[in-house]
Amino acid sequence: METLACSLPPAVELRCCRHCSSALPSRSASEFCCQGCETVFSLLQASGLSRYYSILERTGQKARAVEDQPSSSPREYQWLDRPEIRAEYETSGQMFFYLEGVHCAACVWLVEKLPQWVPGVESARLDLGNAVVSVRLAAHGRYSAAAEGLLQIGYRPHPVRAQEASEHSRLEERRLLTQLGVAAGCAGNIMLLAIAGYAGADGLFATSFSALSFILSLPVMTYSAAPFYRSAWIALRARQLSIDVPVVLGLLTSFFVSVWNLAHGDGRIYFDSITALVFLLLASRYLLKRIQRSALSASSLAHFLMPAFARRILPDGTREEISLSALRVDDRVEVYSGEIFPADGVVLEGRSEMNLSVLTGESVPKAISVGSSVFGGALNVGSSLRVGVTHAGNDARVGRILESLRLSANARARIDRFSDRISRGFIAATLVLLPLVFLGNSRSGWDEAFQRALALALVTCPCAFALATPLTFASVLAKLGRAGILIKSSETLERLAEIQNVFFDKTGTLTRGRFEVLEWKLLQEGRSIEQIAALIVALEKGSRHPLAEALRDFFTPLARGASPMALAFHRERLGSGVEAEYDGRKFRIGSALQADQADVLKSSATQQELVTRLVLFENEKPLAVMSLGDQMRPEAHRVIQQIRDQGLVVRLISGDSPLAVAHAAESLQIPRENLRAEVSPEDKAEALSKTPSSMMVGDGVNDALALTSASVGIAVRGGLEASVRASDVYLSRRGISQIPQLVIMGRETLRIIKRNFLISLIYNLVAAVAAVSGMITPLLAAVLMPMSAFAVFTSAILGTSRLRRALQEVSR
Amino acid sequence: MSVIFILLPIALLLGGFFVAAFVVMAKQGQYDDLETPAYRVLLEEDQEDSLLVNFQKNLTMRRK
Repeated sequence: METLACSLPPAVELRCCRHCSSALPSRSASEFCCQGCETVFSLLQASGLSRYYSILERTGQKARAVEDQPSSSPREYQWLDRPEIRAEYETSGQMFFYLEGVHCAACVWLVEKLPQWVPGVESARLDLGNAVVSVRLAAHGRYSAAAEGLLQIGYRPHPVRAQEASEHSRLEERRLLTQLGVAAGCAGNIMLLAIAGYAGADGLFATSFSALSFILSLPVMTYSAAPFYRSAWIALRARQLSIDVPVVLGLLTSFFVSVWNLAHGDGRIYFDSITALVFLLLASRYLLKRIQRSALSASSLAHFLMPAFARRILPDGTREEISLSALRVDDRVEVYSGEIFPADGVVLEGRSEMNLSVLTGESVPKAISVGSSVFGGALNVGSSLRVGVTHAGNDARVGRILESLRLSANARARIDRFSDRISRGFIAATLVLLPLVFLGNSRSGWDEAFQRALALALVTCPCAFALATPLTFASVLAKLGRAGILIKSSETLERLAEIQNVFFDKTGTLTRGRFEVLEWKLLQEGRSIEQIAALIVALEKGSRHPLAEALRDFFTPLARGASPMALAFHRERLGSGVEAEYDGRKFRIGSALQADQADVLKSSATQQELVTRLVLFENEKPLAVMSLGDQMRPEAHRVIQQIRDQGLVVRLISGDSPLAVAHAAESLQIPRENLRAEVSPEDKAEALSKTPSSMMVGDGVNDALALTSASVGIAVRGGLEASVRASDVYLSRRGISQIPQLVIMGRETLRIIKRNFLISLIYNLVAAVAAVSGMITPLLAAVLMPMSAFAVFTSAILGTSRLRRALQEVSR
Repeated sequence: MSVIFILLPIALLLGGFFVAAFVVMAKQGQYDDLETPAYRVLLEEDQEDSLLVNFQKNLTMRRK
């Protein structure tokens, strides 16, 4: 609705964000919906890139809201400049970055203008379909500068490893395209020659045309059809039957029958049909390949989770920055506030708090002091610490998780594809029928019987079906892609159809995964809301504590209009909040200890334990009270109900405390036996692999293992989009609203495939009858083939009405 | 009708040339990204504008 409202003429009294055009709350004084949008807008203006907005307008697009503020940490991408990293990521002088949020022509323009305002960048080319930009540097350029530039304009970059930039699959795609081109050229010419034959060419024309079509079919049979031979051979060697086995059988028989007949002056040659078939099969496979998006692999996650360097303390007390791979057990490292622990270890000096949410999903930071264990990947939110390393590199907990992630991603069991089961049926039918036809026709002479038996082998080739399956997948995947859902492979679509259990993670999946101010109340008159808000923002400035961040996010918009406050004696006290002096008075934000202060807010009794209450004190007198909590996503109830309506079992599996999990389950009406709380990432994965046909919906690294052990893993968009791209399904929209439709789409896709199978079965039956009665001629083969192809093609493109409805729902 | 025996090889050669050209272009990677160039063509107006300006300049100069 916001879109509609903001495309109305400006005469209508409605104000929109100047960057992303989303409607603004009427009382907001700002011209922007969020800090991020404002930053990007002013940056574009300052760099003379404001044409971005006119391109957006002309192409009828809107900029995406920036939402997350571009991080201000200047060191975030420094590690890209290290020589060993450059060697690892750079290919032929360029580095590839996956970009979050690129979606339209204006994005292409903006990203490719990068050299204009980031010095040292020679060129930037964006591949919109894959959201990958390739950056080439001029001499003395730095990749970190390029990455920070991209981040500043609102596209968070994720470097993509060279092997992963899918050089291999790109080459394979090119080869497939060449094979397709050769097949198209040859098949087209053969068809022209064949039409002359059907029209009655005879004598010298007939023989020379037949010979020509034989010559033209050679490149198709030897070069273009190679992928089918290879995959059939691979299947046979693994003692399996893939759909390519009967296809190759049909292709080869008809080719050799044609060659034999050509040599003996018999007119029954099928070069036109088989080459056209190779062309169609290749075309449908190429289409499917193009549409399946390459996902990032899990191995590149390590760089986002771990810091770029460790600060080692040498025996003489000096510090040096070393790369993580040089870190050894028993080294002593210093970790400043706001930094990520480089390895597992024990605190030697200092007191602080540790945010473990990346590893465990717990949203409340844990207090740590001398002797406590810390984990690599966790965030130090308090003050600086000295840590003795106990496990470094792959031995650290996060390293182990990433390592098993890498292993399990490769080890996921292949499913028994529907198309492969069908091909077994086809082969069996052919093997039974062939001798019967041969013997049954032996009365009309051995030669004729042989011809008919071979004709049967030719028509029982499940070509229409082999053609329809990739077409169906390509069509559904393309439609989903347009609705903003990217699915890694067609196998995932098939798996979706068989889902029976849906596991949800709690923190960050069903809930928003971060603290938010739920409600707040002034306890004293005399000060304006703006003043109080400005005071709170000033007090919480600079803190990395999740509660502080929530307060800042909430009160910054409210504080607009008030002048910023200069505080004196500002200090953060571990575990008990912040305090400072202003105007001679002492202000403090701390937790509400006395019940009467908290009771001002009308939270229900069950929520009391799950909500954190904070109080703003003025000279130890309460001034305002705020309650903060991790809110349930607004769509959670509807989504859970829809999933249940489809006959699926909803389960909750979380690393959070039993109380929090039980509370969430109660409000979502999930029965007690389907809950599991305080589950470690490793146990989550085990639970998932023990439950067949299960889907896992989660976020973050703590769910990553479970996502790969589930038959379908869906990562919800949260902080780390790269981890989302590494999962089977990528949802462009935040939250879980699109999930119920996914299962429907998997089921409907399978239904279309079955329908296509029915169509091709009918065609094969007709053809088989014709073959047995000796009626199969090159002309009949040439007519039946495109007819069946057209029928399955239409069926694949049209889909089903339920599929269309589900698509409408997700793109709404 | 024997003209066919001259035309046919020519037609096949021509067809072969196009297939070869296609193969070369595919190997060069011109078909790798089919989506972005369609947008890019809309955007290179900076240059187009300057081309147009140059063209008009030339035109006025010639008139003089």
